[in-house]
Amino acid sequence: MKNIILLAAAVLAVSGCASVDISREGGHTVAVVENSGWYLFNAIPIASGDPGNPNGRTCRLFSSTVNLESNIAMLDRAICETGAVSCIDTVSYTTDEKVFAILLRRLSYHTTAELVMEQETAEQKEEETQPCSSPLM
Amino acid sequence: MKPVKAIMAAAALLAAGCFSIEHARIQATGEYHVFASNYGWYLFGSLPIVCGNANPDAVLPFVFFRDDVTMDKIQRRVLCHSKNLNSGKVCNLSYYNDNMVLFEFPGVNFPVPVPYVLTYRGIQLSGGVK
Repeated sequence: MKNIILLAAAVLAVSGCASVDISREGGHTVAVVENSGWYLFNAIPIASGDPGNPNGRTCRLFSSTVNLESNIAMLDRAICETGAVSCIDTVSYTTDEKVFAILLRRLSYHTTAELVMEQETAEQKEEETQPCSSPLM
Repeated sequence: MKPVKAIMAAAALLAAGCFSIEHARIQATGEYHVFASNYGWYLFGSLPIVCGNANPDAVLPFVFFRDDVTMDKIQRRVLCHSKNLNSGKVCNLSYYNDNMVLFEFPGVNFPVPVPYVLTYRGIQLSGGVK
């Protein structure tokens, strides 16, 4: 029984993980969304991150949430929670690690975007409405 | 012996290569985010052995002895895919290219000592659709 509990704990510890990290340095707010999951034989999902609870210690067993839609949903939630109004420069890519060819595969989706705050958009609008300064003579 | 060969063949096909394209809508901006990826295996870094099939009418997910892991083919598929989303105007295209010339048996951290014999190439492209 003890071994089973240890095994279950180990599986949960290395299982899928969903995270949203936000950096606010230098007046730029950048969000990095990551979701990863484990697959058996490249196809059967064992565990993947829970997009409903990023940065939490929960995962979804035997279902695959590792896709673009989950990452975009987490990004949307980050936009709402940070008080941003939109995002720019959204980029996505995937990485994967394999154990013994196709026996075990860890797939991760990464999405990054710069969040645009309400204040920034107001400043941009102000800049757009201001007449251009005359060129230097 | 037969089951072992069958398992090895199945493993080779599963790792052969795969083209994928997907999209999701960013609610905050109303824009769609499109992501496509393809990868394949090459002999001597240039002769295609097998890769994901980037043909839009593809029956099989992989194709032998044809190079579909090119920026042109992936970009064309992304642009075609984006035509049906919003206004179809694609912006902020971003590539993530990956090349491995020192073939490593996956998971064992043991590379084949001679580089450029069996190589791997993967291309990923993401972008927005306004």
